[in-house]
Parts: sequence; C-alpha cells; structure tokens
Amino acid sequence: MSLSVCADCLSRLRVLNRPKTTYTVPIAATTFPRVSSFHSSSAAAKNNVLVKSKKGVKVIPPKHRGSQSAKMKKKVRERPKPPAIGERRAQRHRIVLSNTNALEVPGMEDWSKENMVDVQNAGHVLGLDGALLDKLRDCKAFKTTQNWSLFRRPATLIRSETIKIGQEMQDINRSQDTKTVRQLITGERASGKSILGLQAMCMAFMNDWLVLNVPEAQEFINNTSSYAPLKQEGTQPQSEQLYIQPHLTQALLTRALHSNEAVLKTLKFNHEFPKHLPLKQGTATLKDLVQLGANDHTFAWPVWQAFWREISEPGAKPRPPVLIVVDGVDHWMGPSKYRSAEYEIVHAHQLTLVRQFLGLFFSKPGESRPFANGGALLFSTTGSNSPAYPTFSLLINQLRARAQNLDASAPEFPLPAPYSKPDAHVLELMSGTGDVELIDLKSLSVAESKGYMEYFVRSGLLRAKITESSLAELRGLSGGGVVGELAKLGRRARL
Amino acid sequence: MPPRIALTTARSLAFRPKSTIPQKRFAPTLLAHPVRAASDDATKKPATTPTSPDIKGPNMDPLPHVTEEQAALDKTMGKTPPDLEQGTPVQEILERDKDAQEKAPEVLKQSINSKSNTGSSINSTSTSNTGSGSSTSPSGSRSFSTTTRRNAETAELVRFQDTRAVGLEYPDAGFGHKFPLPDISKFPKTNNLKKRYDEVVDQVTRSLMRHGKLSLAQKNMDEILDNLRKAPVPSASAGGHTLITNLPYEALPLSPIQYLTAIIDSVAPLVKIRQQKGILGGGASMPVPVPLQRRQRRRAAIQWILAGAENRRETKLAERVSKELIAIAEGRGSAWERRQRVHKMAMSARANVKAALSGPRRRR
Repeated sequence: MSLSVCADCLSRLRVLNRPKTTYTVPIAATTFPRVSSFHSSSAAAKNNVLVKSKKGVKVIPPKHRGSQSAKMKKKVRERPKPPAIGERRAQRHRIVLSNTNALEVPGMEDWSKENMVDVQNAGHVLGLDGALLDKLRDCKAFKTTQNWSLFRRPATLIRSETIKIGQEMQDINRSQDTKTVRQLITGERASGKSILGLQAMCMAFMNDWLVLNVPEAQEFINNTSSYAPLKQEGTQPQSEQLYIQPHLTQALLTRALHSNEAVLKTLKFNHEFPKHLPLKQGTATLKDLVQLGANDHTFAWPVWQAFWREISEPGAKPRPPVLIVVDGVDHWMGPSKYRSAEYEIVHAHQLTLVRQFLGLFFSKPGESRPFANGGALLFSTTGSNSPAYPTFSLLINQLRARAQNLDASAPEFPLPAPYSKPDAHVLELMSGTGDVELIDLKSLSVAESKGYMEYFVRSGLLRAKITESSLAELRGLSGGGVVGELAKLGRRARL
Repeated sequence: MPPRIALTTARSLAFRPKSTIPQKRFAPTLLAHPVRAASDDATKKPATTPTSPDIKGPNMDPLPHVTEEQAALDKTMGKTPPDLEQGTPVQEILERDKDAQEKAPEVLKQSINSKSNTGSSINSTSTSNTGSGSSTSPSGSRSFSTTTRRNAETAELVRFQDTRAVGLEYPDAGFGHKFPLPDISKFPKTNNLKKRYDEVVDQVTRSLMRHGKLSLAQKNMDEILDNLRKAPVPSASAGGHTLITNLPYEALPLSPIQYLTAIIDSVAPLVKIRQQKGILGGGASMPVPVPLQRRQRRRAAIQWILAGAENRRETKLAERVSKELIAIAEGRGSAWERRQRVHKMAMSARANVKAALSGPRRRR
C-alpha cells in the first residue's frame, strides 16, 4: 500500500505547539491547500510566491505530465502546381482547324465568290481558303462546339438555307436602293445555327462587306465585364438609365478591326468626329478610328459612336454593305446580371450596345434605313444554353405564326398568357417585327445528309459504306437528320 | 345431446367420383414429345427426358375409323378395300352392322327400307348385268362430296415432322408461327445492348469512371479517342518497344480503337507476382508468378496507364490520359518499366511455381 503523502509533503509537516482553545490539531498541512492525497509538489510550485516574484529569471517548470516524446516534423505534402493563369481559359477557347491525320478529300472544291450561290452545290461540302480563314478567326466566328479539328482542312456543308441567305446577299449587292435584311435564326440544339452565321460571314467577306460579329451574346449581360452609367445628354431626362460597356465595346472594335482591316483602310470619313479623339482630320481613315478604340477602352465608346454614325448615316463617300451577326440573342431578352447604383437589376435593354443592335433589328416601320448602303442582320438563338424568357418565346411564336400566314387577329395567333407579366422591354420589340424573317432550322434533307456523311467517309473518320439503308439508319438515330447529331455519329468510333 | 365428435362410429365420407372433363383430342404425334414453346426446336437439342415409344397414353391408341376398319377387314378377306380418302356413308355402315340398324334413327330405317324396295323394283326392271341385291352399294364415284377436304395444294405438302410443320408456305417458321425467327447469328456482336461498345473501350471507360458517373467517363473516353485520332503517328523504333498490332503505324491514328487496343495489349503484363504465405515457413512469403487472363492483363495495363496519367501536368483528365497513351505508344511512359519489372521478377521466381504447387514444405 502506498503512502497517502509523498516524502516532500512529509518534510513540510509541522507540529503545531500552540494549543487551541477548543480543540487541538496535532498535525496539519497549513502552507498549501490539500489538492491531492498523493503528492503536492506541482500544487506547491503553482502557489510558490517566491519563485514568481523573481524577475528576469525564467524557471521552466519540469514537465511532469506533458508528453515527453519527440515531436515529429510535419511532412509538407507536395502539391502539384496549378496551371498558369489563363491557361485553362486558353485551353477552353482553343480553336484547332486541322487534323493532319485525316485524309485529304479528293476533288473538294473551294467555296468562292463565283460558286457562292450555286444551287448545284447544295448538299456538297466546300473548303474554305486561307485568307477567309484568317478573317473568320479574327472575328471569332469559329466555336469550340464545332468539329473543325477532326478534318484535314476546314470545309462546310452548303445547305439550302445557306444558298437562300447567299441569294439575298447577292440581291443587296446588285440592287440600287439600299436594303436591309433581318433574319432571326432559330432551331433546336445542334441544328447548325452558329454555322449558318459563320457561312453568312464567309459570304460577306467574299463580297468585301463590313462584318461585325458578336460570338457570345451572353457576355454582354452576365456581369463579367466593366460597365458604367451613360451620361444623360440633353435637358429632358430619359426614362431609364443606360449603361455603356467599355471593354466589350473595345473587344467588338478589335474583332471588327482585324477582320475588316482591308476594307476599313479604304474608307474615309463622311462626318466630323468628336474633337477629343486624337485623330488627324482629313487624312484619317475609319481604320485609324477603329484602331483607336481597339487600343484603349476609354476611347472605345466615343469611337464606337463615331464609327456607327459613319457606317449607318449616308454621306458623300460610298460605304460597303454591313453584316451584323449575333449568336445567342435570347440572352438579351431579359434582366441582366448587372446592378444599378441603387442595387436594382439592370435590364439587358438598358445596355447601350444591346439596345443599339436590337433597335436596328426590330426597327419600327417609320424609322429610317439603318445602313448607308444596306446590309444584313443575322441574329440566332441558342439551343443548349437558352434562358427561360417566355416573352421572347412568344415573340418567336408570333413570327412563326406570321410565317404561316396567320393573321394577328386570328384566334390561334399566340398572345401573352393571361395573368402573366410579360417583359415590357421585349413586348416593345414586337411592334418592330414587320421586317424580320424567321429561319427555322430543321434537320438536313436526305441529299444533304448523304453529302455530309460521305464527307466523313472520305476524310477517313467513318468506316462504313453510305447506302440508302445505312443513311436512313443514321438519320433515324440523329433525330431525323439534325446536323450536329449526324456529325456525332460520323465520328463515333466503332469496330 | 349427443357428443359432437363421435369417435366410435365410422365417419361417412362423401365420395365424389372424378369429374369427367372433356379432354381435348390431339394427334398422337403432337403429344408424344411435349414442347414448352414453339421456338423450342426439338431438332437441335436432344429431348431431356426421353420417353419410350411403347408407352401410350389413355387416348393415344383409339380404335381406327370405321372406314379404316373396313379397309383392314377387306384386305384380309381379299376384297377391294373402300377408298380411305372418302368417308363411308352411314347407310353402308348400317347395312353391315345389324345392331346399329336396329338402333338407328327412324329416318334412316325408312330410307333403308325404301331403298331396298326401290332397289328390288329397279332390279326387276333393269337388265340382268347386276345379278345380286348388293348392287345398291354406291359405285365409289358420286356426284357430290360427303367429306370436307383440305385444299388440294396444301394437302399434298404440309405435314408434321415431330413438332414442326413441314411444307408450309413459310418453311422455317416454327409451329404456330407465320414467319421464322430472324437469323441473329449474322448480326454483329455490337448489336447487343450490353456489348455495344468495344471490349477494350468499355473496360477503359469503366476504369475512368469515378463516383459512378458513367456518362462523364464516356464523355472523357470520347475525347480520349478523339485525341488519339488527332495525335501524330507514333514513331516505330523509339524506346525499343513496339506495339502489337496488325495495322501499319500510319493507319493507327485514324482507327483509334485499334490504336488504344494495341497500346494496352502491348504493355499488358503476362503474369502477376503473388506473395504466397505458408510455403517458406517462418512467416516469410514466397513470390510466385501467376498467369493472367486476357481481361486481367488489360486491367493491369489500364491501371498503370491511369497511374502514369495522374502524374502528368495537363489540366484535363482526357488530355492527361491521351498524352500518357501516346507516350506509351512511342516507347516512353512508366508502364513499360513496370511491365519489365514484373516480368523480371517472374523470371527469377519461376522456380517457385513448382514449390507453390506442391504445397507447404514438410519438416523432417
């Protein structure tokens, strides 16, 4: 049995000689409280006033209960370095236009100005030549969702809609009076809407038009770019605050500059430009103007305004026709992700560029012609990333009804749902849909899908014979010949 | 009150005779080999429970038809038997069978009587070339038919051979089927839903899968195959390793599945080393080379490739894996070393195979 006191405690014990009045305690530990019945050393050390009062001398108390083991050094796990800034984005946006392993398609014609609207080419795949490719690349016409990287060289399928657009562009070229074509391209996912826009740009470049491209309409509204309120001009205040987007304007001008450099060089000023722009009056061309905006985003907005005035208002010097292509326009038909100074949601139509493009597209009957020398506006919706904006789908349905010669007073004519709150901004556009033509992209015809699949076979991607029955099977598997789905089947690796 | 249960007295049991269910009559050939389904082709596989041909069911050996009976009788008596194709008229049967004549319906009795009367009158008036009263029997050719006959064309052709109808318009259709089953032996293997993808591709896809997200793995696999398609042709002699393929190297990128298969099959190890305990004794384990099946070999190779891809720096998984695959095709890549190491160990440990087979060592 162990002692109930340790040796140290025992030595401190005092025998009290002083007799108490009532009772006597023969032995008492008075100096320290009784903490433990075993030993009191640590408790004594804790209460040791003498030790504590000594200054400067640090007495390290012995570690009786602390862990005595040696501490292991923490291993530093080697983390792999994350990729450099911007590398992932660059990879996401990388466009590869050729695959050296793919076979050269023998006897493939190039698409040129001569055979642009050749009806015989419908259902054929035609190659794009180098100069055109540079321009298309500069205006960001290619997208990662398109399968350019599979084939030896870029080529595109000419479908009936392509030829139709081409013929309208040729009409604009020939006609004396300026004419502006407005086309809204809709269609389900992978039905070739963006490619149709790209083909329109190709044809515009072939005819030396001025091409402005908005490859991703979503960029304008998703609050990933700078914006600033527009200074109100004039005495009467506008109904709502407008916002400019300097960096997006700069990007738009950059695309316009690089893809249209040759055309812009030849164009002189028709109108006076603002004094604060550092340009030489008289010798400056439109290229210098656009370059100024492309270099500096602070100049981007005034440069854009001056540029817009030059291409749209008629003047002494002639102007080429203008093509404006916007992809994913349904993002512009609702509230944006931007907020005002009062933290209220900014509508997409409060953004000046969006407002300008949409005002041009859905122009009211009484308004003047938008371009000095005519042109075309090609707006396409998105199939896979479409936001749910019922007012815009109503607008499309109305266009569709009108294409079927349905009168606006007919009972079947689509109207906003009762008790719904349609978007007032979008409703306002409906009065300007008179000139808008709807291109509803459906699946490819049998002849077109045959030409397309044979292109896959000749490029060495599809190891199959295209017979009538196998083509029918492919078309059946691709939703009746939806071009993107056909392309997926064409590259599917099967043994 | 009498007790409810009378133990002493015998209980009267209600006797119910077996109910007489009218049984369907089948041709004996149909019931001899009962079939489960029409598609169960008896010609292709032997009957699982062979039955003796002597065994006959209760209704399998009925008396022959009256006409057949008469024909057999006539044959033994040396007379001309009646035509089996044509049925025997009732009057004729009644004439032979006196018992039946008595029990025949009144109408038939009258007709027999009148016939015999008229027959005698005819006999008396007609010429004497028919001498006996049996001349009333029909000549065998009547102006009308007494039996329903099948179509002349099919009657000649269609008959049953075991369970199969032979001679139908659709020759290979089974019993009860108008059209035959399609010949699926000519279909490609990939027409099966579960085998629609190539074997190797499917195995790699499943290995790529994480958290059960098969669709994502398939998307990655698609991208890997696309990357293989776009990659430059592998140089043949680099690293001293060659791919096992019957295609020329130039053709490999354009057939990405063969390319992938060639890479995986080339680095796949032939054996694995199993550390067998309890042979050496003293807690030591003995390395024993064990041969692998084809799928196991491929699995080992895929795991090595994926482990090698983990160490790469590319941002996307598909790119990491495809770069690793291409590195292996060009003779680089850690999988080749791992394969070599395993094979070397297997070579040095091959003496252990016999020891492992003979079991633990006995102590003397």
